[in-house]
Amino acid sequence: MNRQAEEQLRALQASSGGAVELLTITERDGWTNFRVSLDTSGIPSQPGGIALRNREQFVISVKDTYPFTVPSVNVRHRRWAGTAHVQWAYHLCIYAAPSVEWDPSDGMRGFITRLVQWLQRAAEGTLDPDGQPLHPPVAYQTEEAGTLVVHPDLGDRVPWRDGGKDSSQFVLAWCVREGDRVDVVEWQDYSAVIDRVLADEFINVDPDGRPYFVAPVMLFNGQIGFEYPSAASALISGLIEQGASEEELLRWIARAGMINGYLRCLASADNDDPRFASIVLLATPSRRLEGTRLLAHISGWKLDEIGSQLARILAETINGVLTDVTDEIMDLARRWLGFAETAWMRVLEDRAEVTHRRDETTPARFLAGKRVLILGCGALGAPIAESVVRAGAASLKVVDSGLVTPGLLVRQAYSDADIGAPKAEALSARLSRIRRGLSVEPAVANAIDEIAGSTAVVGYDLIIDATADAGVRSAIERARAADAMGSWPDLVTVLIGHEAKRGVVAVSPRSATAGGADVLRRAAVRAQSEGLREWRDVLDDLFPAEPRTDLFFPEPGCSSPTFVGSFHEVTALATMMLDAALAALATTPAQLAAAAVRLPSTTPPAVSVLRWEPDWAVKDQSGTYQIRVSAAAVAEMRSEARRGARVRNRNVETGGMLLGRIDEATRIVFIDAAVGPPPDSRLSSLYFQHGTAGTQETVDYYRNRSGGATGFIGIWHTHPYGKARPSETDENGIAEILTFTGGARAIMLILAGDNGEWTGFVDSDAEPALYAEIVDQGMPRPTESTALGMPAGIKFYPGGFGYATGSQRRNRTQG
Amino acid sequence: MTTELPERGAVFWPVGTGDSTTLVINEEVVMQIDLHDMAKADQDDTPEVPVVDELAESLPRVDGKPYLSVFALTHADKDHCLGFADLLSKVTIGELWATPRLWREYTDNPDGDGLCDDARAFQEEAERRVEATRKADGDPGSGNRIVVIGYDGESEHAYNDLPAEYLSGPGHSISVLDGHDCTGLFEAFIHAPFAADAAAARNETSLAMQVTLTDESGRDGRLLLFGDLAHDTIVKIFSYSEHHERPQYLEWDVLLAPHHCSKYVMYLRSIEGDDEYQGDVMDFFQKYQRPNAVVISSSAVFPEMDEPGMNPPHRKAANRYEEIVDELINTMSWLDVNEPSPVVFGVTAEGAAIVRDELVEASANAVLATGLTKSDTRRLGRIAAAATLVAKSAAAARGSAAASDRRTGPERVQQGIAADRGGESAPRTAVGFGG
Repeated sequence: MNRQAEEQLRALQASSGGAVELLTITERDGWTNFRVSLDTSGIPSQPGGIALRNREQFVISVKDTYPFTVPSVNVRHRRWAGTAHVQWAYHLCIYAAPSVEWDPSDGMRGFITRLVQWLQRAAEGTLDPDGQPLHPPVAYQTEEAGTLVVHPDLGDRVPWRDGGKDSSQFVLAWCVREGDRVDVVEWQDYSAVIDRVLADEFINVDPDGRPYFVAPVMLFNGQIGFEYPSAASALISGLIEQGASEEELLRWIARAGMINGYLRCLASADNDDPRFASIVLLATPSRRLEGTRLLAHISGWKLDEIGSQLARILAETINGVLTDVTDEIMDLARRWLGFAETAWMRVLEDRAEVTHRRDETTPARFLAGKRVLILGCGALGAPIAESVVRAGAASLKVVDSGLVTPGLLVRQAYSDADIGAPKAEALSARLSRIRRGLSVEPAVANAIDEIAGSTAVVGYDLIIDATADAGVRSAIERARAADAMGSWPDLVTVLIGHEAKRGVVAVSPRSATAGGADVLRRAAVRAQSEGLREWRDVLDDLFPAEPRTDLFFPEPGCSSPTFVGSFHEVTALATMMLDAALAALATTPAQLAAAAVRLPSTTPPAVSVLRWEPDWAVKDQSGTYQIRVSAAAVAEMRSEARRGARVRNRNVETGGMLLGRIDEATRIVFIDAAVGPPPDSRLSSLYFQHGTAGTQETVDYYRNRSGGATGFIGIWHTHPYGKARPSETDENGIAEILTFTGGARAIMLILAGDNGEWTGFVDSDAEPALYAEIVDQGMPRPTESTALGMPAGIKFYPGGFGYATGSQRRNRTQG
Repeated sequence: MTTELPERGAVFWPVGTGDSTTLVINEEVVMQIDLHDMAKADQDDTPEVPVVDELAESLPRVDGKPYLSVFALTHADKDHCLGFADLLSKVTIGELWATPRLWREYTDNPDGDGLCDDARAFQEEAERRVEATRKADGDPGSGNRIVVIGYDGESEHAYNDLPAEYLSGPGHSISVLDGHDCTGLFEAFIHAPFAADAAAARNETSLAMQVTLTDESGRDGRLLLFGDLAHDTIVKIFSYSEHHERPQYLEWDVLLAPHHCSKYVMYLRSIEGDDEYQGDVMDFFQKYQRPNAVVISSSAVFPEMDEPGMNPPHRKAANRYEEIVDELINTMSWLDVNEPSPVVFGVTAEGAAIVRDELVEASANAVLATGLTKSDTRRLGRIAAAATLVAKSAAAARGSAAASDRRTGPERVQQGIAADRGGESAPRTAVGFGG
């Protein structure tokens, strides 16, 4: 039973006057199910939207981990089945990305807000605005069915192109399998496949040695609905209902079976070799990226054992071997379809037509399709090379003459097993595993040799010099200057300072004169002559006026000097410089450019840092909540206590409003601010009556300033030289506050202390004795108002704001 | 545009919280189920136009006297029989439908004060008719007929000796109304009272039935009229008919919300006094509702909120009905809360439905222009016109209805959520703390 969800729903029922109703609570399998009714009257329904009644019932289910996990919501009717974002006819998908959209602190309040918004949009029929992907039909996968990775676009092969009316068409998927994973490599027509496999030069395995096989793909021109059945019979009858033919499906299973029989022969594989297990793919027009064109949603059905056998036997009917029993075999196949269960594969999409690259709008797109040469496979070259591969470069060659040594594992992305191997080879081996079809070429060579010769750089679109070597820079400078053919492509030169805190990147577009060495020189000159302060630290670091004497030797006595720096520092600098270079190449392709980059820990800082003094932290009396009193609130309360001691009397109580947030999810009360007593308050040593003048303006001011993040949460008051515990009047007072403010709960904070404690709080910066109590809406209320409970005959002081309101007014009142 | 209402149908009179339903089978055969003539009520806001007088004027005439084929009393509560004595004096009632419970209450305890005057009048008339039937040793003739519906196995009563044709009960259908054979046009399938409930609270002994009205074309409309039954008996009705495989007798186009939209149809009171929601009965209602079915609440306007101990109609019950139908009709606010119209259900070759738009009003205007008795309009139109007069009078007596909450559902939900989040308001009154 999830108490918190229940309490929140009950509170909403009360606060909404029954617009939200909690009808029943049941528990099952670790879920608590709340049947909830919402007032849905007045929601206009548009054509294409769902029809809402004046009230609707929902089942909201929460796990024991609520509110840290998002609830789910179902309906108990099928009236909305077939609507986008309604799965299995009953389940409403109201969050696209719960990890960012679900707010545990807001709990059921946010959940129901979201549900109502969903209902309004569903009624308008606007849940699927253009540009948003359609929610594809859901096929509930079985783990044993394996994984299907789809690479090629279906493009114009689909029957619904140009509004085509054919109910279904077939094509073959050209696949390879490894373990439970099937990759679709190409789409092929039947005749093309026949020609291909019968060609003399046909190789029956892919470059990695995996045998090819084919799968029939039914391109189904109709909405199969939003649920894929677990029984083949239901699937087939659904397909037939919309004009597809069972006969045709079986014929294509037979055709694929025949081709696979041949491919199995070529691979010398047994009949039941799992690498040739039969699958059938289904493509329906149920996806969309942009605009209105519908794209194929692909599902993969792994046939059961009998199905796989049938596919083999059906193939014989095409071969002409078993023609006399064709009818019998077809009949058998139909009967199998009647009882077979459909095991749906997990489909992982790699089709460009249905996916967005995660780096789509970033500078990395400049690298897509580029042929790249990287000089240097060290701290800068290796991370840049990985970026180039992931960004979709067409080819990559990495050059380094060095070997992997134990010491450089500290900051270069090599592993223990690579020690002793050439860096270029170890790096290319690792990067070649990232993308199928991209094999990174290594060259164990000196960079200067690699670029020597007039044709050495022909065939590249981009060269990145990551050697940080003045000799290489100079060699390139000369080679570029000598190149009369204009064969030098875009050039990027990166280097970092001696502590790996700063770096400079030079960008030399294809058409520009200057190479890296020149660009760096120009930068130094300009920075000096124009007094560019933001370049000074970088140039001092990289190009010191006096040669450095404090060089770093990793193995003192017998190694070359290098720089100090960790993996994260060099990797950060390398990728920051790559980012600056790609941005320059993409946006100002005709200009030389240089950029200085720094790590955030340097001066001037690359990022701004905020700092906070420590909070007071105290538990509430029940031990449920932690109360964090911010230093700002502490300062306000202290200054009010000091002012009171000065203008009233040291024994006189004071207090005021607390502003912040009570977070039920984290069980933390954040007190962001505290204010003093309103002017119509009455203050005495026995009794403190909190007034109302200006309080709403104050709450509004704090809410506006914080964008609603902070609000009224309770009252603080002092017991000078007294106990940190509430009196009966206190308990009544705080309970009463809820009556006037709404809200599920409020806090009472008492600041008190004996002589030393209290003086320490008021006169210096000590923490007083604290008492905090959270009062719930549901707790018993005082029967009589305490508002007029000012004891008769005692002298009191008026209050007076000591804090800013919207007009920054300051108001001092003397008692 | 025609202003004629269909030939066959039902009129639900706007008579406050009380039942008054008229079924028109054809021009000659009219059946009244319960009566709540507010003009007979002893209250300040009593409407001037009496239901009985208007009904009498709109009925067919036999031998110069208004003629009602059948009067069925679901149970003897005042809000179901107020005005019966008056009706009996002004109208020839061909046949009475009564339940055994009245004998138990009346005969067993003649001096008890549990029954109102009209209930006593009904019972005396029932007794007279039982006697007349026994004397006639057969059909006593129109005006003397009675059908006793239900069994009371525990006690012996005069009606026990009636011939079988004057007795009915759960599981039986009635298609003959005061000797008129209406087979193919009308069928009342009796669901309750159950014999086992004979000694239960009076509401639980209500006559409950499904009425089917059929057009000559074969299209039919079905009404579930469950009197003042509450949860347990209604579930029993559904379970019983499912067990006997009679789903057709559970279907409905119109459900008259039992007990004037009482929450005890779908809530049970726990020992602690809390209302506990029972989804089973709502599931049954949903299972057997036909497309475009409506629920009618014969009651005062729904309250915004239920208060403890309040009588029906209950907001909670209205909410539950709104979840299962597209339309929940309240007889006192139908079409216009300040000037309600009678709810008219009609069965034609086009189907069975609530008569919509301005047709009821237009028809009533046409009828009233000529006068209720003189009009040559169809019977249903005349009875609806009579009910229109009562509606106007009832609304005038009540005065304008309280302004209802005009906010949309999402607005109410959002405002509730904002209030619950809190933090927006400072305390509105001074609050004291004592050290």
